[in-house]
Amino acid sequence: MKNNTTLRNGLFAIALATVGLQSCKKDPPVNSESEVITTLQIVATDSATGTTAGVFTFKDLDGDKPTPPSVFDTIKLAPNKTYNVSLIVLDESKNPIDSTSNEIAEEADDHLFFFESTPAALVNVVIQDKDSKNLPLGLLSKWTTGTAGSGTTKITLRHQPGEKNGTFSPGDTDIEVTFNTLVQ
Amino acid sequence: MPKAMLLSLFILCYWDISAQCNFSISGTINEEHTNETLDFASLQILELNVVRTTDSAGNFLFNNLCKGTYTLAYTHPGCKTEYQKINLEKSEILQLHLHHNEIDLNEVTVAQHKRESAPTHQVETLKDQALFETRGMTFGDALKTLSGVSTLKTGATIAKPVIHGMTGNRILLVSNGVRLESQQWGSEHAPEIDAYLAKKITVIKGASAIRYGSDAIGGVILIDPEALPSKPGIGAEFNYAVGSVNGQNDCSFLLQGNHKKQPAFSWRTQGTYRFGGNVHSPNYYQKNTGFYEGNGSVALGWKKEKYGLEFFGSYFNTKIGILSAAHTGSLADLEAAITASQPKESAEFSYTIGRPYQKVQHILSKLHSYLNTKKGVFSLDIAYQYNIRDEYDKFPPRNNALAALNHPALRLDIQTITGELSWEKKIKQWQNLAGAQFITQTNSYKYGYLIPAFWNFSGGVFAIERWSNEKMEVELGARLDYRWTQAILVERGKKREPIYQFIIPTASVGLDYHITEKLKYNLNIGLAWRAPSMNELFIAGLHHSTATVEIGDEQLKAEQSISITTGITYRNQWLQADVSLYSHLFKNYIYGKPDTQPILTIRGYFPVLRYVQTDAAISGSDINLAVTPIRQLELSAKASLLWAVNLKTKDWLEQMPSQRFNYSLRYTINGNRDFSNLYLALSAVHVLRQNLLPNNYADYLPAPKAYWLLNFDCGTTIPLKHQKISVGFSIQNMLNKTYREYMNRFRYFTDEPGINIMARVKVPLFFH
Repeated sequence: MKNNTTLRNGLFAIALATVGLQSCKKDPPVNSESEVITTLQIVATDSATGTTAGVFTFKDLDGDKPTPPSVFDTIKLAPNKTYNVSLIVLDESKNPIDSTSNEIAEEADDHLFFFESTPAALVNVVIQDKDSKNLPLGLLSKWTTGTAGSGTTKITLRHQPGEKNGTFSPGDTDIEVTFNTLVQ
Repeated sequence: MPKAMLLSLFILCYWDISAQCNFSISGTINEEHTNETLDFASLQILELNVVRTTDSAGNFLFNNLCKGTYTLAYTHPGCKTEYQKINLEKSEILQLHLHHNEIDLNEVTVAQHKRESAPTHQVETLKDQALFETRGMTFGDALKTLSGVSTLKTGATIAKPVIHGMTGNRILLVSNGVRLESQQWGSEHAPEIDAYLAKKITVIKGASAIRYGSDAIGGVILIDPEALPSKPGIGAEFNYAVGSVNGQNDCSFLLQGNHKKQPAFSWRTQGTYRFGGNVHSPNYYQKNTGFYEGNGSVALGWKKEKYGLEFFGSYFNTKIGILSAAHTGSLADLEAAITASQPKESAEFSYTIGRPYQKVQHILSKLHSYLNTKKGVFSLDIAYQYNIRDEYDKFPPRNNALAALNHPALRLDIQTITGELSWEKKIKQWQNLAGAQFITQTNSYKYGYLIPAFWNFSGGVFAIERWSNEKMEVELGARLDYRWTQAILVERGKKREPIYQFIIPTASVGLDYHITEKLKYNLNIGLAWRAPSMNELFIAGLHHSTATVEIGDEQLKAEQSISITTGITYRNQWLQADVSLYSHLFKNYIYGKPDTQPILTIRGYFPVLRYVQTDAAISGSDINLAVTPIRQLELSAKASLLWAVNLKTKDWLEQMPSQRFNYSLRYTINGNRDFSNLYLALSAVHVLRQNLLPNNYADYLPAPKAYWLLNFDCGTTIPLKHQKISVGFSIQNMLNKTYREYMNRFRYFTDEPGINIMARVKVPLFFH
């Protein structure tokens, strides 16, 4: 008789625990406050006329996740010209959109952009802005194109908290985008 | 041929028996903790089948014995049977000890009894002196001393046990009777176990351990504390261990007691604090590789012969620094880190843990009850577990307001309720065990995404029948589980809640046959299913340490396996041999396969690891040989051999441990291993290069070279009044070898630790 009671009590406890857990089945919290960089925009202004020569964008809304980028422009510039270029970095996965470039500007001492043109003669880039220690930053730069041709421009953002010394090596990569580049 | 071999073995066993038959074995038996003499203890010389009982003063005598080697088995009601080998050349007077476990029906002892009388499984245990010798190592490294067990590591401080090449969800850890539920799928998620709580660690290899759950396709690891005391008085144990390679300090304290007036009531409280700093490799310190761990537990028991109740509660808390050079932002960063001859970020010795790091907390509470009736023993167990895992990235958020919150980049949080109702009864030669189990689970995440939130409900019933006589034992087991899982995915603001249901049958058949007294054969065949885990279905994210994007597949089917393990054991006075062979055959084996198509992100291209299914065969052999040419000396050799084949591509499977060998020489002065006064041991570990890799396998670095390591160990027991203090001293990687191990995920970035000088002490205390 006692066994039956035990068995019944046991089954009851199982049932209770199951029902208990199922009844408090509200949605588990699903919030994300992680920082994602989704977008890099190159805004090129003709230095002679001051008019916008083009906005070239890389946009990948899911950050590190598998979905491929939704926008990946080719940089198109005219030969033998000088452009003032500003970079805009955004997190468009947030609402409202988060301007990462403002944060980079605030923490200029921890960040450094690198530009690499292949072939080297295609575009020559000189960084115009500096951080508080007089080291380059790269949100603002002057691009001088060579003769007509095609190649790539690689833009890398290095995150170097406390270690920035003007070279590439310290820290980690936050952005590395290689744009196809057409000078025509 | 085998007959001739057996015959020659027999001749070897008996050739040294001479005709002198006037020796005696006499002595007394005492209780280990209380030191009181034990009357009516029974002793048996197994070889002669002679039985004696101690008198009221605990004395015993065997006389007219011939010269030879005997096994003396001795026990007392409420004690475990102990064995001692005696090489009789003159009359011996022995001082024997027994440890009083109560005849309680508490699950731990019942289960232990079951396990020890479950020779149809391939089982290895770590306890007593062998367990003491692993103090100061990570839980995973301690298990590595057993054949067939290796580790999957992330740096020097995170180690997951691997049984026959399988880890993660294919292995079940059962801590104090509760299956450990955390984020066990992650390769850098070490088990949340306080190794100092364990009195005994048992590894059951293969899929046959259906008692513990359907997922245990690779094996089960049982971590058991000592049974609560039943003799009145207060006992304590203090453990301390240090290690030089990372300035490690381990300190563990245990206090337990039994009430004089109310002997049904017993209690235990225990705590461990461990910490270590930057790990030293032969040429440099590994930056940010310190850790700390603080754990505590309480157990209360009310135990009568007919019924009983036991509560157990524990808290595990750790913070582990991750080698900073292993955190990379892009493939280019990773390549730079790999080509560097040593980690880019150099360091001095320090206990400071900076970013990146992980912080893990695990709460476990359990209520165990039993009812002992004429119709059998009924047990009911309910356990609750809460695991919180916080992972902090190398850099805080750029946004200052966000950074000030100091939130982890990812928090995974899982709560589990498990329950079990079981019935056990012996009817003549049949040992019957049947039960029902359930699990409900809720998983959520915060701050970042890696795997989705989910609900999980599983229920299962099992029955195990065991039949035995003196010669053999047969075990039949069957289990049926139902599993219901719902994932909650939020994709671009839209919610999706796919449901997965599985009906999972498992079964096993085992046989254990004593061909002769010294030679034993066993065979076990297990059929197992494993439902795909959440990470295998849904993971989507970047691993900074391997610069790889892992992608799950929602369409994965359940994994099925047939595993066959068979072995022979031979024991005589100078030879011990255990040879086992195994083969685990899988249909729909799930593994991460490198994809030829990389994915493009704002940080450049990343290689992809996709979860796919194939048919596979993991086969191998575990070999243990020990020779005792003279009483004081033991020479032993162990081998763990493994071959893993992808049957669909007819090629090797990656991420498997390579063949490894262990040779040791152990010299004991006075007595045998169980009663050692002083021992010295030298051992060599030889690990071969992993050459069994798939054709054209894309890896950043080829598998590391083979390596040899030399280790030294010594120790002794110092009797102090009624207590026995154990001390041990060891040197690992004595030659300070620079090497890397294939099964360490940080082999791309750093060498393994260099020479490590360790010391340990255990002080047991008992007060009336």
